[in-house]
Amino acid sequence: MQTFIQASGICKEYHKGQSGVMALHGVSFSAQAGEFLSIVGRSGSGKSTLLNILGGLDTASAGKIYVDSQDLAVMRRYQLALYRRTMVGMIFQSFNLIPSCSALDNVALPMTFAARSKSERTQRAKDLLALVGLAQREHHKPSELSGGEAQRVAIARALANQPRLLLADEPTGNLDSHTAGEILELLLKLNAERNLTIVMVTHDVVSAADLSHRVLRMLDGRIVEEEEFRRMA
Amino acid sequence: MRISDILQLGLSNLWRTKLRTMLTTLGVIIGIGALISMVSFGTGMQKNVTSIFYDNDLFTSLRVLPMKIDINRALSGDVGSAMGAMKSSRTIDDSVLCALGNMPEVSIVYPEISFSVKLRYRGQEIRTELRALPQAMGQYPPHKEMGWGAFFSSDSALEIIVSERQLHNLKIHLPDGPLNVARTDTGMVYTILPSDSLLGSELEAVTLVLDAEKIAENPLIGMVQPPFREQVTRLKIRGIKKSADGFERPQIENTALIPIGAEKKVPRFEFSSMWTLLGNMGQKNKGYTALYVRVHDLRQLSVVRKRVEEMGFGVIALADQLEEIKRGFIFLDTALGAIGAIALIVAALGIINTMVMSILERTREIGIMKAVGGSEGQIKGIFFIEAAFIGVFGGVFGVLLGWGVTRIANIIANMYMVRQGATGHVELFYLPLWLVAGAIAFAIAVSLLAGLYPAMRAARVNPVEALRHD
Ligand SMILES: Nc1ncnc2c1ncn2[C@@H]1O[C@H](COP(=O)(O)OP(=O)(O)O)[C@@H](O)[C@H]1O
Ligand SMILES: [Mg+2]
Repeated sequence: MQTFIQASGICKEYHKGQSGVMALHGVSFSAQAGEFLSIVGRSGSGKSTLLNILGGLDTASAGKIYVDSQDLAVMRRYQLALYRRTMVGMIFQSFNLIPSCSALDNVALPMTFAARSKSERTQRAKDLLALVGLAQREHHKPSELSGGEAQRVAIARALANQPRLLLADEPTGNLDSHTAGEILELLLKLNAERNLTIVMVTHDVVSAADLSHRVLRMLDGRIVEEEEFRRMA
Repeated sequence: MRISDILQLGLSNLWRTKLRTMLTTLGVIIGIGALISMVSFGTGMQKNVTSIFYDNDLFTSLRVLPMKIDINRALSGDVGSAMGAMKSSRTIDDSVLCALGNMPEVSIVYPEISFSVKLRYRGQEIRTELRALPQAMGQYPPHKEMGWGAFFSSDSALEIIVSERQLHNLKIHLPDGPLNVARTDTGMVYTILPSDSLLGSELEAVTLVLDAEKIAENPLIGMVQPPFREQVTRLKIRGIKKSADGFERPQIENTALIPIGAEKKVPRFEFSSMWTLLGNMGQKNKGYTALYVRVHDLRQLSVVRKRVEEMGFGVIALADQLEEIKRGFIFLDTALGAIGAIALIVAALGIINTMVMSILERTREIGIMKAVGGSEGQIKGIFFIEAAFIGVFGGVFGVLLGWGVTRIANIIANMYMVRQGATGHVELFYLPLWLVAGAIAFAIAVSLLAGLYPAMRAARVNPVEALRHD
């Protein structure tokens, strides 16, 4: 089984005026390709910070982090942009769709940055919306979608450039439990059928244990507990 | 990212904030409009002035004067050296005329002779200047064009060329001339005569001559009454100059022409003051006051000029003046352009303001674009293209606005001038292609410059902070 993510000793310090805030105190972990990994922990324990570093949106102050053998720590800003474009898809608690764009355009946006042709973008965006069960909602604006639908659009967008890694930061945090269940099911399906590696931050310890291969618990910028629930096939 | 996508994205972003985009672009439109109308006024003036030079074919000619003139020194008050120049003045006589005429580069040379006469025709009189010209000058502007009739038949014919305006002053109106009867002083009655009946008819040139008999009778008579009598010379009207369109050209319209050989057949006593009167009595043939020299080609002007100066004469070439005038116009254009440029700088501040505002509003959107793989360069491009569009629209519509303003201003100016008594049509503004292209390019350049900082700011948005929920 190949190691897809290899993180060791990641530190993140935020500077606020004179004093610094240590959000991560040497986090080390690894993940297999195709693994569904959940991160739980109290608010402020550094989960989002870790996920943003994994997604190339933020950079670590110290430590090493390899994704698919690429060293994120040495990447320049444009290389990180390329990494975000091609290697990862991210979804968020607040969906982060562009309000003025239709569902279709939101899904097509990452492909625009990847210089895909318009026809190719449209076709693939339609396919992805069908995949997440929103074929009828192509031309709706985010404001016209329910929370669950919006998160599905976000998932479709995250898949646009066929990433191998999906990062989800509390994807069900704004949803009722029924809708949350549907979203988690969709993630599980993607993980199983597409061999997509998923790292999900969640508050929902029960469903995390249900879905994930492994759960990491964070506290004050450290991983304090690791539990395996399912063996990788 | 494809260029077409960047363009489309830029346009749709601008379209989203239509009103703001329109107001910002309006700033650029007004700036460019101001620039265009200002500079096209400057270039229009320049064109009008230089075309007077070209129309009158003033570049291939020079004037030879008896003395070396150092205008700069004379103007700076160096009277001593100016006097020195006077002393060193040389006489321009017929031998000088021949010497110049024998130069291979010189096509025409003639002495400048003009004097004041009274013209009498059908009982009306006007006082005017009579200038002598060789027949050969008829092939060059401005004499090439004759409204009615032709230039002199020979150098010695007793002919005269008058202008339509002079005829007007003689209360004669040509039915097919541009001059207007109605607007002239009320109460004046014009005789309407077709050019056919004017041409070939005789006109009287009245000059004053010393009355030798009167002086012989009583040398002191001059103290009591002028010792002169009138002398009449009959001259055939050979040609009539049409009044100029637009600007009145006094040197042309208030001067009548006679052949250079006929000048000697008009007896006259020349004086402009008592001083010359006394001087003239003492000495005969002081030489000519100036010579007009015309070369075959513009490029030969400096050669001839140098040779004439070496002979010890002063030379004035209008080509020099043109250079000076052109330099003056560069200054004028710069000043006018600067006013327009200031308007454009204000517009640029508007662009910066608008774009910074929209970046602040769209911070989250920028964060999203970065999260899904947008690079700094791409985001810079998306915002930069907005500035470019504002520049293009502002430039194009600004040129249209500027053009419209100059058209309206020109119509108003013409209406005003017609009321002031001018005839014909003037173009006050000139909008050459380089000015149109330059203004649009300038608008785009200024807009891009204004977009530089906002675009950079957009590219540097921290996605983590932009996406933090709120
Ligand atoms: N930009 C920032 N500047 C300063 N401190 C920050 C910043 N982002 C996060 N932090 C701090 O880092 C810690 C971890 O934050 P976060 O990763 O968002 O926690 P979680 O996602 O687990 O709730 C918190 O104490 C938070 O206050
Ligand atoms: Mg968080």
